[in-house]
Amino acid sequence: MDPVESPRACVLEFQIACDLSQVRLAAERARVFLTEKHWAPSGIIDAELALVEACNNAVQYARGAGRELPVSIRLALHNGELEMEVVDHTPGFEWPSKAALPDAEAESGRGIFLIQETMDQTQYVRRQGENTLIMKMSSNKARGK
Amino acid sequence: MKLETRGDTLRVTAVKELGSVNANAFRDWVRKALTAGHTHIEVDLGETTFIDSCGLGALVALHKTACSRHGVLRLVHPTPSVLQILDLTQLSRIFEIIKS
Repeated sequence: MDPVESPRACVLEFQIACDLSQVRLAAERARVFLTEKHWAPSGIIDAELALVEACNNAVQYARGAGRELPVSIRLALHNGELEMEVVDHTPGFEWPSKAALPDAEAESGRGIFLIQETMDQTQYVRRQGENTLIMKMSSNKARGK
Repeated sequence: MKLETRGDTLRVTAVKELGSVNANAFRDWVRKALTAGHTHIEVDLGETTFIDSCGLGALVALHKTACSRHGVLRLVHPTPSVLQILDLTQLSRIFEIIKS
């Protein structure tokens, strides 16, 4: 699906195949979009990381028919706030209110922590066969204030 | 990415990104390159523009590999964004980090 950008609402929507090789392409598109909209550079770095972590999970935890469905991504800039949505087709999981870091020697388990640390608000909406991770960042946070 | 030996250290340079696509391959590639003469592993992150939790996991794995050889994993010249993530995840406490 070619990216769709709505100039007035500053929205970018697109899909990627359920494949890890596509995740960095998604991040690249997001980075270009946010740069064009003059989002703060430090905020772009954080948003890119959160988006990558969300997409990694969406791909890595997809099962069965879910692996054949694309991952949908939406970025919206409105009133000084960035909202990112990632729609996955995984079985879903319990989103922690505040993720803890794993043991220092753990080789995995830091993704959700990084999403929550880089974004102001996160919400995971679970539905049958489809889940949406909503991530929000204010422009103040983006500027490091 | 490039590998070279400096004394008892296996040095990795030209690491552009460490993410979900290449993290496991990176870890395995470095481990395969280790010989009996290598005690330490050094990863130059001066060109690394992006790292995610999978990349961090690969570095933790190499840290454990180095420890098993009674050596250390050194992260050299991490870029500011990489250093920020290392601090955020408190991994800067277990890695030996040599800043610019």
